[in-house]
Amino acid sequence: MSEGSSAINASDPAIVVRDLDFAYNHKQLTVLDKVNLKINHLDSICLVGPNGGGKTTLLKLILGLLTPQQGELRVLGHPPADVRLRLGYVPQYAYYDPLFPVTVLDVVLMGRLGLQPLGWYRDADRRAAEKALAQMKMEHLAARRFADISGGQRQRVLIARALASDAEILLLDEPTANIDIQSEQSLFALLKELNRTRTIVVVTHDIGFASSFFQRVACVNRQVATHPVAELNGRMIQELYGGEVSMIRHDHNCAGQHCRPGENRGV
Amino acid sequence: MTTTVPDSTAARGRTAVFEIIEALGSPDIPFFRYAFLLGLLASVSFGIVGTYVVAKRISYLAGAIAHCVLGGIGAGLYLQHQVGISWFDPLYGALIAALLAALIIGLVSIHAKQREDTVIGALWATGMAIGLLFIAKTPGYVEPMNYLFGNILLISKTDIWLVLSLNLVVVTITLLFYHKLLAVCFDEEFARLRGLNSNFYHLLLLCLTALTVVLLVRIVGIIMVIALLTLPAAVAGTFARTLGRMMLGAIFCCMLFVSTGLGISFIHDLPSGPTIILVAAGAYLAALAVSRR
Repeated sequence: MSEGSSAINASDPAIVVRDLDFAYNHKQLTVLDKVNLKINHLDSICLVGPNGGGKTTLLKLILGLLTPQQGELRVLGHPPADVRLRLGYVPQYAYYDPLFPVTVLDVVLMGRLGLQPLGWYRDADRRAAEKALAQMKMEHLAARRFADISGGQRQRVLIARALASDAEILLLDEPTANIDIQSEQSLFALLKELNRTRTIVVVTHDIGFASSFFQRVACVNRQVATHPVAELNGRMIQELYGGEVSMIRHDHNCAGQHCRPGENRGV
Repeated sequence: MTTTVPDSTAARGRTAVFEIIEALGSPDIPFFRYAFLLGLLASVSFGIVGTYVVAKRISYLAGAIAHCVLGGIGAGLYLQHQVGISWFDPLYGALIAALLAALIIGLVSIHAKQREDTVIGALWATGMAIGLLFIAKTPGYVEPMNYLFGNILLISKTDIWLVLSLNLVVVTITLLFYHKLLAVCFDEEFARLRGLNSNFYHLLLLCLTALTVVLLVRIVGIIMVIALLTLPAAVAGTFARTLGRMMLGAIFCCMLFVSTGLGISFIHDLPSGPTIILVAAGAYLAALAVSRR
């Protein structure tokens, strides 16, 4: 068994970030400054904050797609690059070329890449992809073109791709962007279900979504401060986003109803 | 009258087809047979590589590589005729220039995101400028138009073997790396997350593009080679559901366009390169119209 796939103690944290610095443009544009963060196994945590605050950068550092300039970052007890195959990533679907000729099943199978010695998928890979599609109730769309399905369905396909890899940590980048309220609610239910067996980290601007699902919220704006969701309030959000924030409750009991800051509901 | 017109059109069509078949078998004009065969064989590489180029949206990178080929051809001609290195065929110069351009352009597209278009535009023009200067200093040996717009009279038996070898390389690489290349073309970031060296595959695709472009320059020329690389794949892409089917469709379309274009150019005594490209462009417009219905 390789180092990256070795079993780890369930009491160890899933992700540990210590005094991490990151800057773009040859260290000229600092995005993250002395960031500390600990995420335990089976945690569900959302990263919220203003645009340019460093949410997606932090997510990409955790995924090993970027390398920190300073500080320590351990994922499942290892450097991120060593455990990439144990991480499931769900990017925003909006970035995909709508004309790209690829079927839903082909997309989900990409979640199995790196697990074959020769580069061709085996029966086990196909079974895992079909199981992930079934888990997302998307098996009937397997042969459809990815471009021909709706935004909410694409989001589910991308989650299926992450699930197909048997990921221990799921990281999602703005999963509720560009999907309707119904898709958002079913995504919320699905993440709750997945969180029973996996750690979940989500980047979002949708604090309403965050407050109704996550255990903790990490406010990211160059630095990171984590809070239990129950402590999240309007003042905190205003300070984070640096201005007036429209608070909208959109849990199932008062969808669309406007609430005043301080009511501990969503943006 | 109403019945004689279609009859005469059909008769003319039949005569034209017979003329083309006769020309293909004629020992007096082997270049036409070679061009036909080269076009059909090259369609395999063009269909496969063109599909990657269209799906990954790197036509402008392929365009820059194609134009840098003139630099290599010019240098090859100069070395052969002015310096006296007789074994140095311009094709070698073209291959070196194309692969070098592919690597430089690939590295620029990977590392210099902010100035990518400027740098690639500059390389595009620089390659052509170098080629034209070398050709200007090699008087009497070459007509630049042959390379810019293609000339089937330049095709020899050696080219057929070269294209067969290229097909073997392209098909083998595609079979070995199909899923990896698909992942890199569709979602480079996710491919990296799954442990693939996406930069390597990006450079591999550009090198394949470079090889394909060099071997096909003789038929359609540097200026139009990109159209023949992208249009068949674009036509196939309007209907294909998977990358594999798009490749097969692109191979078929490329064969159709090349053979139709060569046939028309032979019958009507037109330059073959532009005729092939216009056939391909017409088919693309028709495919777009049909797909939007």
